Amino acid sequence: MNRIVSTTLLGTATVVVLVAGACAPAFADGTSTPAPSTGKTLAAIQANAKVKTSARIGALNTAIAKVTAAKDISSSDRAIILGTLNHDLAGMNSVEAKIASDTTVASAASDYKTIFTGYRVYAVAVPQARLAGAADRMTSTSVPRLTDAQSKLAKALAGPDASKSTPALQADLTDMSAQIAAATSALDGVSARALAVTPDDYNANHTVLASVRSAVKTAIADLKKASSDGKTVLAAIK
Amino acid sequence: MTQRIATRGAIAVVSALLVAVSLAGCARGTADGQSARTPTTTTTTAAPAGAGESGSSLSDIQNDLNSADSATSNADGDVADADQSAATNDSP
Repeated sequence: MNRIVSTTLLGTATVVVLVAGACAPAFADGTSTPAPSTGKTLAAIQANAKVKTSARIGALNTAIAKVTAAKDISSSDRAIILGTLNHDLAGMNSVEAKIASDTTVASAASDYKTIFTGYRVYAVAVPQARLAGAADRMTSTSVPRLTDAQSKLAKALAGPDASKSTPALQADLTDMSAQIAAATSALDGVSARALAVTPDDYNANHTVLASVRSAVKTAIADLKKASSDGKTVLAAIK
Repeated sequence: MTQRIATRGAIAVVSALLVAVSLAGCARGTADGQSARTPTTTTTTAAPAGAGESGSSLSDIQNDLNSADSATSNADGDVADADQSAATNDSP
């Protein structure tokens, strides 16, 4: 009996190990293309490095295009973001060339690590660019537009549409103001905090961008609620 | 003598015709080349202060809300992009 149990467990463990080993390359880098393993030969390291840098170069170019096209990112933040993304783009090309010219496994392996630890393209550069952009969009467009809408709606209910005013609509207006204020507070300094994060910061603390993301998500929820409040009041006075 | 008078008469008639044709051409040229008519100035009446009584003010509010929604939605997309990137393996 024990032998049967042991054999079953051993077989199951073997299958799990084999499946995990087969799937790992596909999940690495989020691509379906099997990446060459970080082998111990110089050629294998160089081939793997080429895959990693190429993927990051693609992601950086995509991010650069998005940031360049975005209209409501502040010019100062846009300059900082593009500076970082272009710096990393040059870095990826540089480290790729360096590894390709390496002649020893030790130097290639050392350079290979810098693709990740020296840049953190996926963990820092791209997320911080997107999060700072999100904060800027809301600060420069969502908040002022909702503030204007709230002001116009308040005037309407206090003046020509006073007959349509109800306690519920007044509560919606009050909540709209509160949600806008909460979002404004949540967004205060967020883009600067996002853009201040460096690869070294991430290397020391992998959750270094978590509070930034949380603040942005909070602001998004607040502004969606404010907009919903405004639509309720607008529908009532139409 | 009679022939001279006839010749002079013919010359006078031809001259008159030439002058008439020339004047007609000038008139047409003037008509074609006339300067553009000065646009009529339209006075825009200011919208009433009350939002509920003014269709344009209501549409202004709707536009404000739409603009805010668009920016907030784009911000949501930015966060999704950030999450997707952060979920990608970035370690050796």
